[in-house]
Amino acid sequence: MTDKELEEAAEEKTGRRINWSSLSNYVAVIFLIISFSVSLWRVYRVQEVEQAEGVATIRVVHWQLEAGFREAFDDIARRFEKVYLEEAGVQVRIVQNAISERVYKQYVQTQGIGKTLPDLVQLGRDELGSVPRFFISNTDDVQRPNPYNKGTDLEDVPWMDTYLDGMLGSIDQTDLEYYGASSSTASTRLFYNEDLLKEVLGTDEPPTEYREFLAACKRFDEWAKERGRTDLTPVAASRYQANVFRSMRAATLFELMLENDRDFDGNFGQNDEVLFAYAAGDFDYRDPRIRADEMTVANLTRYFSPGFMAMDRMEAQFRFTQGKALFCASGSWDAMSFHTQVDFPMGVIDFPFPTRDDPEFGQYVRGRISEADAPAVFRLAVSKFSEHPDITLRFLQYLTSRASNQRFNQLARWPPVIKGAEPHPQMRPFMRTPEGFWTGEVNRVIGAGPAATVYTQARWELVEHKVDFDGFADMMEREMPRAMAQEFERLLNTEWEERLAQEMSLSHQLAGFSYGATWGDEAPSSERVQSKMVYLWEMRMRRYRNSYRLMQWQNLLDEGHSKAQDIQQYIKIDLDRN
Amino acid sequence: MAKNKIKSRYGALLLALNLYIGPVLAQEDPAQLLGQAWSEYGLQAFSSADEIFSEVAESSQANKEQRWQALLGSAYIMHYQMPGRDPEAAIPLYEALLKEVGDASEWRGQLLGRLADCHVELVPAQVGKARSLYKEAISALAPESLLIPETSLRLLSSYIQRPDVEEIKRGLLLAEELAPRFIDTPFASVFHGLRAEMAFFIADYVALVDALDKQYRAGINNISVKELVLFRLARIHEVELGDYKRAEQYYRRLAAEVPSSKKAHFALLRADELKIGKLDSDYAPPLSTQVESDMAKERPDDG
Repeated sequence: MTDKELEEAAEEKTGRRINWSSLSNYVAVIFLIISFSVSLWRVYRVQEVEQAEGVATIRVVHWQLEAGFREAFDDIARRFEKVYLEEAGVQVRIVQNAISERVYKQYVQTQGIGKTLPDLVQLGRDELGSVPRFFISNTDDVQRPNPYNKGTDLEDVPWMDTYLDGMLGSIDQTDLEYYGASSSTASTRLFYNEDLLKEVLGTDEPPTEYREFLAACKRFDEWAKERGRTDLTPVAASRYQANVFRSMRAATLFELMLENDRDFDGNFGQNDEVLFAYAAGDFDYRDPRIRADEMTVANLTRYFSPGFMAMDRMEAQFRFTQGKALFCASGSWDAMSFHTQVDFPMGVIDFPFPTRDDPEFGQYVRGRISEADAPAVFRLAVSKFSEHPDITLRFLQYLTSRASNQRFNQLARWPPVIKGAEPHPQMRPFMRTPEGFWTGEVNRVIGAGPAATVYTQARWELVEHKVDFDGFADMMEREMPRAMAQEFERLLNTEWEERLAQEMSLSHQLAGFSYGATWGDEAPSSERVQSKMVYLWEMRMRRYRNSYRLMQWQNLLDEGHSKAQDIQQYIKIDLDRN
Repeated sequence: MAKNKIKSRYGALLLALNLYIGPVLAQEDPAQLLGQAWSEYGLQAFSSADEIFSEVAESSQANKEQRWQALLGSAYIMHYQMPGRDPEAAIPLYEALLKEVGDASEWRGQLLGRLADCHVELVPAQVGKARSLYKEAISALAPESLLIPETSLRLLSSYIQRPDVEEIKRGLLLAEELAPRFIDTPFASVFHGLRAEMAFFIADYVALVDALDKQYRAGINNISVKELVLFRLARIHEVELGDYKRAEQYYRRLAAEVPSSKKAHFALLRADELKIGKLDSDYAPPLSTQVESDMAKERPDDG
């Protein structure tokens, strides 16, 4: 007999062998059945609530998974259910569904095509072009007061004018109608660990001025090194936070911009004026004002954790919330998460940007950068497939009334967007500061072209301290002529295409103007069509600048500017044909 | 047998009637279909719009004008759809429709205007031909038609499409002729805005501020355009024309009328500086060097 046969014979004598493999299979099956039953029960319960007779269910979908957000939304939803029952005698149930950002765009597209979009949908994920197809415009409604502002000084104010940004963010550029309404705004600020501040720097007061901030980072760094605390770092940062810290820059480019602003509209940067001023030799990338702008952040990155460029955003934030860093920069959307994750007292302050007293940059500083155009966020729009569009709109109005907007944003710890709505005390530092100046991308002619790539490469080298500012400027000067030539070509082409796209929109309005009255149920209001035609023409006027650009360019070449000649050698298209 | 024959004849007749009337009754109202087609067009769903336009064009229920509208829609798609726009291929479609509409003035005006657009968009552009078509369109339209100022804007814009200073100057002269057509129309502001662009292209700052001011006074719909216009007026008066009083007024107007603008803060600061005669701003590039250099230019014999 073999060993195995002997073993089996022994087991037979002592009774049945325990089959562990079968047992684990049984456990798995039982577990599966229980899980499936629980899921079924939950689905049934949800369906029961949503489909109860006499209850209007409003489904809301968004991607805000931040801590506290859904709870705040639920609070407002429950309140609206009571209010609406009292005012209309109708029972409403609002059900929210938060979906991961990663799949949100695809979700909205597929549900839209399948005509199964929920009643209220968060917009802001590249839906351009599909908004008028899937959503109901509320242009008429935004021009009337929000009924839920009754009894306040906003009682007679059009809904759109109750917004800090005049509801500009709700206009869809495809058909120039308003869709939906936002509930919050956003800004970026500096978070700090109060315990570490006190322990290391011996103070309760965070630095409010740029040099003081750098000195605080330096002292913290030295303190940590002296004690061998390699786990501590002055600033928790990754590439993401390095970009967030760009909000710390002051308006050091302001004079440079106004000096080279050829059309006097105040905007210099990411436009043709950059090309003309650079080609004419009116500025270059060694300009001390550009140096001040770039070095503001580069001076700080010395205090970032080593290898910050390879780190990811969450890793850096985790380092801060674990108490391993004195400072971290992020947006208002992370404030609640930070507050719930940290077990130390945390403070939030505005960025300590350089002032006019700064010994190095002061002579170029004109003030802080204005936040007047801070974006309105969490924009919800009513879907065309909503079974209760009127109630859904009513809920949107309730959510964005001053009282509810204040409550919602205080609970969610986001900055409110309605005039007069007070933020949560912890969120006061996040409220927009409209006073200030503006800046521009003086390193590019168009949005995301080769000049932007050159600049990004040079900037990363600078903030990683692989090159100093002169090295940065050398890289820019070496690569810019070719990059600007390519961007000039693209600019000429883009203007033509944009004008044609506007021409298409205008042709639709022309048809509406001439024949709209004969379109049965689809007949547009003639007043609205007329106003859209004017609006499109107002936009279109500045789409004829190619001829001006070509004349300016020829002048620069005729005047013999050497940089213009450098750029010209890289231009491949026939400018005479444009 | 005879009865059966009659029965079968009636049956056949009923069947024929049913076959004929059935689809007619099943057809949707052409007005509704046109509404749908233009809505699809607006949503840039061109193939679906084209299908509906074709259905209306072939529908026996559609009247003459509805059929024209459907044909115009198909021509628009050929002309404007993106990608695949083809103004050259749209020309014969517009021309064929032009023959059908005869003397119907609004139709002629609309079609001649679109034909002119095609000629402007050809490569190389046939600007001369386009201008004569725009003029023909304007003469065809009823005097009170809003398409007259709209088509006049298109005619005017044909003067700033080529990098040619003389042509732009001719455009400015034409604008003077066209000005009465825009009085009290919704396009008055746009007209002056176009004039402003022309004046800017040839660096005629006096004409530029005149046009911008009229653009502003005629009423601007778009708040960001209004912000730009007021800022430009302030800056040109300050920097190019040395009219600091007017500059101050426009800065203040910007801060008051577009308070949400990121430029409002600077506008107020600069207005206050100009009010006390402070040429060299704490915020903007100094003016004193420029004033001195301008004065030197005016006194060439000095020194």
